[in-house]
Amino acid sequence: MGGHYFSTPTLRDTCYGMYHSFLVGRLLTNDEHNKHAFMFLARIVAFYKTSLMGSEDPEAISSCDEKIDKMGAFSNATTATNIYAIL
Amino acid sequence: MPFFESLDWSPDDPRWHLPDLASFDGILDVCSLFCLLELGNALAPWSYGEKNNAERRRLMYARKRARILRHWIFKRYKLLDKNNNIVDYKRAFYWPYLSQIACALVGYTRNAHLKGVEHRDFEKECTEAAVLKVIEGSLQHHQELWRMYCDARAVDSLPVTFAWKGPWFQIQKAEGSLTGENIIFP
Repeated sequence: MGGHYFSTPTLRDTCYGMYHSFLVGRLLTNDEHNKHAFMFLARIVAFYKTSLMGSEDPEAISSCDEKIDKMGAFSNATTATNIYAIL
Repeated sequence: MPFFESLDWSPDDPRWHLPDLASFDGILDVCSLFCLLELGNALAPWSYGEKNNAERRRLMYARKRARILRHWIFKRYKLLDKNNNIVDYKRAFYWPYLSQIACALVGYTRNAHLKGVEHRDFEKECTEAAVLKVIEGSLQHHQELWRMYCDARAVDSLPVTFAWKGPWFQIQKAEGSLTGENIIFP
């Protein structure tokens, strides 16, 4: 991604770097990567989970995903609390 | 760092890219990712005015997967203290780590604003109070975690590091075989 590299042995430093570049990302590096970084980190989590736990249970995942989708833009704090309880 | 159980895998197997969960280094690697996903909203532009529900949802899905995976990992790999006693991973490690990072992020934001450094894109919206509100909103879902965070802030109001400052644990693999099917996730 733009010459930037995500690797398991340096994952901790990547995470710490994202905190450090939170306010001044483009001052420190040549581009703003937070949005794309979250996309890659989300994929890394999915890869870890699938590789370690086996294939995801589609029924359980889709059921939970539907509940999250129905929340929309987090306008209902009660629903948010319920989702935390599910997770 | 290759996964320690992977010796019979082909060198082309992508599972070589998994962290070594039999070492505390590997546990720290994955937990740093889990913590980042828990606190991700505080770093994300959608918390400061940008409309991006697709990306927000992607982070929510990732956080959900991370919690399931965390539960699975610590059912299988136990943390041992210096006396070789198994410790509760949440109370001894994960929640303190998450609290420490949250406090460090609060301190980092405060220091930045004190020095006149503002967010490049959301100068007006991304105030110290706004960041604090999102961070604390990410931690209030569990009473004990919230208490640890409050205690950490009271003791060390401006921490300077995101790196784990607590003790180094040994790892013990749990007896028996645990698969995704027999994990009961609360």
